[in-house]
Amino acid sequence: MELPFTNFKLTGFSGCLLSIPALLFVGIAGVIGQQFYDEISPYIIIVATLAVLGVIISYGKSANKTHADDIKNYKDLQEELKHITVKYNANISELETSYKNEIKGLSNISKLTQKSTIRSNYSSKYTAIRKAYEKERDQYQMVWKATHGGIKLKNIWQMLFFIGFVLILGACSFSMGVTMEPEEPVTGVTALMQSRTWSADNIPMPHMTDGSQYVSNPDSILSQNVVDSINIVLRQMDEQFDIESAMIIVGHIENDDPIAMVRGVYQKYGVGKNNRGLVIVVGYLDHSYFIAPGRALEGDLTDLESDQLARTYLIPSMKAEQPDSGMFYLARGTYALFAEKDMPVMSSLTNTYNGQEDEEDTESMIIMLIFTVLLGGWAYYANSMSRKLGFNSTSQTRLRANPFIDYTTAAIAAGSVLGSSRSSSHSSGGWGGGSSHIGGGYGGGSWGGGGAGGRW
Amino acid sequence: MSNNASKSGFSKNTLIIGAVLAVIVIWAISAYNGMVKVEEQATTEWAKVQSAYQRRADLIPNLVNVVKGYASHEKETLEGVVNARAKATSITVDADDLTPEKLEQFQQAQGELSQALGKLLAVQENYPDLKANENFMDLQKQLEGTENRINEARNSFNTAVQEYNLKIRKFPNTLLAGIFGFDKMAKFEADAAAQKAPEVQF
Repeated sequence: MELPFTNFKLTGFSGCLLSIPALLFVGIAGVIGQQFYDEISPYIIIVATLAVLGVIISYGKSANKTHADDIKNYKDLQEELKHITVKYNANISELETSYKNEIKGLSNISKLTQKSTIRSNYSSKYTAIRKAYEKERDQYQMVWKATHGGIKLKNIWQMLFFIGFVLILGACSFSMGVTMEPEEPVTGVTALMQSRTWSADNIPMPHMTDGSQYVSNPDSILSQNVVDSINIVLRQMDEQFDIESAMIIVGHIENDDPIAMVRGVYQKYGVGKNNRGLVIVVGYLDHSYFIAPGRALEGDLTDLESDQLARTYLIPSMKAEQPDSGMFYLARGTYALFAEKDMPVMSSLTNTYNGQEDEEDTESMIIMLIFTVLLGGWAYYANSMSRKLGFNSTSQTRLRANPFIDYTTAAIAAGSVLGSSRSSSHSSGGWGGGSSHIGGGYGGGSWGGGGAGGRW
Repeated sequence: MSNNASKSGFSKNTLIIGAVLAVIVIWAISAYNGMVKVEEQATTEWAKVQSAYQRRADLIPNLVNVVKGYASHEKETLEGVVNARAKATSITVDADDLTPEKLEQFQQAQGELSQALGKLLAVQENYPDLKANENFMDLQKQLEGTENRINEARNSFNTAVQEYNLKIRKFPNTLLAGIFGFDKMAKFEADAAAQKAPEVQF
């Protein structure tokens, strides 16, 4: 019997089948992010190579013939085993009928005293039948193996089905894990971020050209999703409360002086219509910040309130190296303060901020659905192939269980709690769309020195 | 014929003189208004400076009370702050009478208050309970904000005074300034004795 992977048609066919989860893996990973292509590319290369090689070579006639012969031989084995099993099952049925007749013939009192003894005797006879069955079955299989070199074909197919099943589950788990990936701490500090310092003179201010942009993030510390979300919050604040904002987060502030940067931004750009401006400066690598309300805003956002906002939302997140959460919740908290709404509750710092939860839950559900369909399809295919190739162990090739054992009525509760996506404890809240601002520029506001700052 | 000639010459001269005078008057009015404007800006900024210092002074009684609750036997320090505050608030400088001497006197008094405050805040290092007291921490935070306001107000005042002084000292404005009593204003100078803002440490 040839080695498993010299059976090229088998190899090619199985390679094609295995490439299905691989393709799905790729597709879903591609939706999630480019970086995952790098992680799974070795897997893709191996499976794709197997698939292509196998398909090309599998058109050889000799391969076809070998495969067909193997299947025929295996089917013959299964047929013979079925005959043996049917024969012994018939013996067991006769034994069971005899037992029932014997019990039936007993009086009620005799049943109480003799039934267990009779059952025990018949159980012993069953055991003898079983031993005889196993002996004949094993003998036949030994002879068959000696003649045909074993039943490796069945093992190969079973292995392939199992590998496919595991791969699909693995791809599903990986994709699910990816969608629920918590925000990674910002640990990689680029050389540019490390070297460049920012001041009011060189900080880019997107609001000057686009009135819907309030966040300056030149070192890309925040992700674009978060920047967009913060812009929505600050735009709401602008439209509802006439508070013009500038939120700045950089790696290093010049001279590590956020107050000087705040002063410079106010002087240079005049943040705030009617002096109702709000400038927030964070030096992420310097571990410093300052929240500076404009002159006319100091009454609505006092020094203590600014400090409280920072201590509640900014500092814990920054300490956990999660600037996205910190800045987003700071913006939301500030909005809630002005709107006199309940202050947002920051989710655990091991999870992403609440605003993303609904989106991620939907994504997780879609992924689970795809993989459920794929698993179901694979299971169906495996079952139909097994039947076709005669691999399925039907009841006709399995000996009956011992009918003379007195099973207790213990209920075996088998349950499994299927985990679903993680709980969502806070609604995201729709911040609304709102029209995009045309043009840009600030309203000429000034700063009176109020606000709060500090370090973490 | 000579009469007609002299009449038209006189008229022409009159016109020229009149025009020149008109230009001078217009310029004078414009210059005067300009000086008034920058002077007002400077006095407004001075009011903001006083307001910021007053804000600090208003925080001190609460601060003293909180510290007294935990460190009552720091008598000397507490009295020092109270006395310095009294002295600082007793010196009021009118914007119209902002001479360099008076400004220096004002700055010195405020400087002494800053130093006394610094000593008072330093007391917290010996009293952990005081340091952890929420009221104390809130007052410290307000004090920090107040110091920032003082700094900003002083910077704005200095900028406004600079602009005013430049305006009145430039020629030909300086001619008018002397006539109408626009005097040079004094600016805040850096304190040689290190007028340090009280350090707020957590």
